Amino acid sequence: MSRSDSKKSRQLIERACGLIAQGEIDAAKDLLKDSIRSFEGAGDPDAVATYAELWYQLGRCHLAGRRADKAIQSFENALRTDPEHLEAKLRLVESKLDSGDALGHDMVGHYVLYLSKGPLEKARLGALRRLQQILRIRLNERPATVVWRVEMLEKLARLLPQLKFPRLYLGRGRYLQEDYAGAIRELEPLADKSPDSHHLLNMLARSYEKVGRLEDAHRSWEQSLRIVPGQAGVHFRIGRLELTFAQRSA
Amino acid sequence: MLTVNVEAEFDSARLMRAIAHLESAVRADPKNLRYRKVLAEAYLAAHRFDAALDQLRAIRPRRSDPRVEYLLAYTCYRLGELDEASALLNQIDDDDQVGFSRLHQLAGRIRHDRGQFAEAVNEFAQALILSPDSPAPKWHMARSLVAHAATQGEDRLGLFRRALGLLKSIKPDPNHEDEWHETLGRIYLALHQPIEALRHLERSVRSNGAEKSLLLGLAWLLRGEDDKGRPYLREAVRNAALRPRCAAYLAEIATTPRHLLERMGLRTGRAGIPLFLDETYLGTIFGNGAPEVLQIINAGLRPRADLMGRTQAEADPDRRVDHLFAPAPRANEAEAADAGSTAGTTHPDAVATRLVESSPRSQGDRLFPRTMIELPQSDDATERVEHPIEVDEEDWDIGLAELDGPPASGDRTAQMPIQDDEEDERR
Repeated sequence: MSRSDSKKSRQLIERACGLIAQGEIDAAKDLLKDSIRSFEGAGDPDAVATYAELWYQLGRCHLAGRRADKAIQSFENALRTDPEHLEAKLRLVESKLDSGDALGHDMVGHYVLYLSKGPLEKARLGALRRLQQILRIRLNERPATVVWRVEMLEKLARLLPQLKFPRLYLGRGRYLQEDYAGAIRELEPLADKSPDSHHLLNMLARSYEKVGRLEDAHRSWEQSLRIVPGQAGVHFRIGRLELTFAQRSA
Repeated sequence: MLTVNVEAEFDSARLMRAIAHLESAVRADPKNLRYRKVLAEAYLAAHRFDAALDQLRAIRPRRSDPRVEYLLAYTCYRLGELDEASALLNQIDDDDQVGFSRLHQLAGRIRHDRGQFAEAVNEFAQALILSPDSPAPKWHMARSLVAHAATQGEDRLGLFRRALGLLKSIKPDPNHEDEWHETLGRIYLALHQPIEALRHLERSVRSNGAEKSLLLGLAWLLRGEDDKGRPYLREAVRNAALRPRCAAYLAEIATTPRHLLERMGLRTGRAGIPLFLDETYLGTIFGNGAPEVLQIINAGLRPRADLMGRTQAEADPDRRVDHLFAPAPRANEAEAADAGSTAGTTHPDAVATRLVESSPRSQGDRLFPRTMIELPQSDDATERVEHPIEVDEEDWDIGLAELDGPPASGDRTAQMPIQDDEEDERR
């Protein structure tokens, strides 16, 4: 692309931005579509950044016109052209938060990025919630699923150490991977912060049992039972531990 | 792995707490069979056999589990329902969940309680082959060997020796310590070792039964402490069942060759007559003029011709009567034992050790009936089952199956962290 072409492209994009700002979305859209078509015809590999920017701006137009599906398409085109296009990534997150693709595994990286660089508070909260859903580790999770979720949760925990849920899921993940000491490392600080969460205490107690810290397990089960009396499983486990202690202390 | 041995000794306060929690668990979730099974184990530990039976019977129709079947058989056994226990035991199709060793042990105990001591010994021997390091089958086998020796005529010496070897190879658990000492006391008396017998009998501190009194009285008498023996013997003969045995044992002592009695320490008079063969002395035990007094004195002063120089056990090999003494060790064994003594005094440990360590040479070292197996001498067993009832991983794989449903097929509405997990756990 020549210097004059480049200058022309910048001007074109500025014009489109201006039209968007004035609310003349359709005019901006037409302008951008024409430009995209002409770029596609030229097939100039040096014009990647400009081409990506055109798609990004077109996505903005679709967003403004409340066409989230088309906006998503445009932002994805922008990212295919220039995977490092930050604004396209952020807008893609905003567009996808309420779409059917919001819980796709490929969105994890985008959500994490949005949490650190996204401009909209509401969207950041949304990204957090989606992340929590995607990365949730249940106790019946398949081993392969646990592996990649644990990797992502570790990154998330490093990036946002104040978050609770990554630690909780990491605790579960490590438990399922039979790394019980690791599970305890994740869960103990959480239990200190959330002493009223009986589920957290139950999980911690299970991990203590697995590493043979039976007195600690007993204490955690007892604490859990004080919070929510009548848990059959907890009564059972305390009973088993008492039975074991009774035999040991004889 | 956490283990519960329902026959172990339990701290009663903690056991009561365990039962309270397990009862709460069963109340809250009565369909959970695992809860019921562990509650049954806790009841068994607390010797609440009827309550355990209720739980196990509630489980049994719904769950085919060899461990439950075993516990049921064990419970019936403890309740004295030997036929039912035996029938249940025969039905168990074990796949290593219970361990054959444990099954043989229970079968042996049932046999023992039925008075089938030889068959019991064989069951315990099978258990030992499968679990050679386990003390329980050794303990039970020793008891059955002693009981068998008391009622059969063949080679009592070998049976007592084997029992002694087994008992000395284990450390008794607290529940059986008294009986362990008392059984050893009985064995040492049979093996002509009253000092050792006394040492063990006096350590069975919690046992104050008539049987112990009888053994203690005889041990003191044989050690030449007639006066110390008297109150124990007097106490023993108050028990109607023991009175004839006491008389028979004293008569047996009276007819035992003098050199054996003197080696044990029994006091004799100038003519070599035991001092206890005295109407006054025996009268203080049985009562003045009691027929047993005369019988015992007559036995000592006018012994049967066939008893000359022999113990009753040697003279009556086929008579199924209870003898106090096993036949005397063979001359070469006694000499070997004497060689280990100093200044002409044989230390009881030396004799006992040699008796135990001597290699099997007679049928007394076999089990009965003779068609059955030999005692294991090596640890080449292919299966080992630890003594305590092992709690399998299923029991302690805490909650994975219990708290979680099938894998989620889709995602649910987003919720905030932590609180969301409560629902997650409830699934």
